[in-house]
Amino acid sequence: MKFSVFNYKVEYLNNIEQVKKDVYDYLNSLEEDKIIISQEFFFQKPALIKFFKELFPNAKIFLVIREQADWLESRFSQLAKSGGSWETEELLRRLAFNCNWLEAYQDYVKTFGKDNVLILPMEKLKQNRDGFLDEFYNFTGIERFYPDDNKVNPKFYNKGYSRASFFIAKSLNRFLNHEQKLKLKHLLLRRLDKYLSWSGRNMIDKKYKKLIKIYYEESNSTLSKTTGINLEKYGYVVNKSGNFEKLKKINYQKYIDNLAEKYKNKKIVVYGAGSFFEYVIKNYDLNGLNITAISDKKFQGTNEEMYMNYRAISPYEIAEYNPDVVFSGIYDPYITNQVRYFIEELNNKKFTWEELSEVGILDKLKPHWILS
Amino acid sequence: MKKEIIIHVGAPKAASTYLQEFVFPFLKNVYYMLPFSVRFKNNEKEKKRWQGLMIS
Repeated sequence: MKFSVFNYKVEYLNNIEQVKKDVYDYLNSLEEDKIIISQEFFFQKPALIKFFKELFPNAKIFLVIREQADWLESRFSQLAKSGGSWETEELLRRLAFNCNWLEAYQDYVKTFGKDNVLILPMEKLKQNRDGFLDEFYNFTGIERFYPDDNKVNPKFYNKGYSRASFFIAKSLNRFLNHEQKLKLKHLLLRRLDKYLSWSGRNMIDKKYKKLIKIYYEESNSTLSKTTGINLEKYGYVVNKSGNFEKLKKINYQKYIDNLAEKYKNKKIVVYGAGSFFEYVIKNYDLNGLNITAISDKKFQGTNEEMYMNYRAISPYEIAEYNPDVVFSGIYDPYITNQVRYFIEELNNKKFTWEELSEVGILDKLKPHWILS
Repeated sequence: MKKEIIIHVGAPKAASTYLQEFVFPFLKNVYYMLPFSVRFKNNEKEKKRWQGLMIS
């Protein structure tokens, strides 16, 4: 009997009782007490969590994660090796929002219970291989085994392209057939990368990398606190110094100045006078922006006419000021997206929007269907 | 079922190959199962390579 349960047709998998019978019969016939099932695509199919729970309700889950910017870079390199020819921005749209490890961890914990889920950063394997494996063995009760690194065949390592090879492959792949792509891959990996290693391994623009790190700062921080793993030690950016101090890590004033240049002599209304905008107004020079009013729901039904030396207006009044552009003073782009809908409904008018939160720039790469 | 199931949900490019090729197959009293993935579907060479791991 060929056993390939994860490749059966959907109709078969939907018949969970039959799947259970077949799988249990097979697994019970094995001598070993413990079964490890491993496959990368499990991570990309969250719907499998429910299936696993039904099939193996007492299973132990072992998650391995990698710092997001580094992970994306490695994925890009892998996709170029596999014959892909996507542009970096297109790949970011597809992948940059699928690496919230906190969400993945929480989904498994919710389903299997915290004691049955172990999450470890791949970086720990690099820094302290035995420590990484010890945690896995402690969690599973499996007898310890440590591979002899001197005997590990390097050809099996998923070695990535150098930056130069990455761009060569990405540019040429679209013109090549399958066989030619394979030949190119071998040529780049085995020959050219010996000489092209000087180009480094940076496949993603530094600016994007920085934004990706900032984008996942909060969730990584929560993951670090929840699991007790010091992710910062392994190169993850975690939020230690308050929500908006992270702006100091980027040239935020330059971002403001660029907006001032872009909207020179244009009338600007800012929506959102919460903690983020207050932080910005206190720490950065906004004089280059022609801000005619600040709007927030907290100004509705109050006698407050001024806010930080700007006119304070309710959300209903934005259209009366006839702004050329509405700046969102909300930090989280998800909330901006929701608020935007209501503001336009209230005013019965469509506005041009701009983000004051630089995280919003990354979010603009995100396809609409993800935001909705 | 009396067996203890451990599901490794490794993100791609997060040491999965290392664990799958150099750790899991060598553990004592552990049956390591690599379910088929779509990448083997149309690739006979890959299938042969993994034949040893197929359950027949």
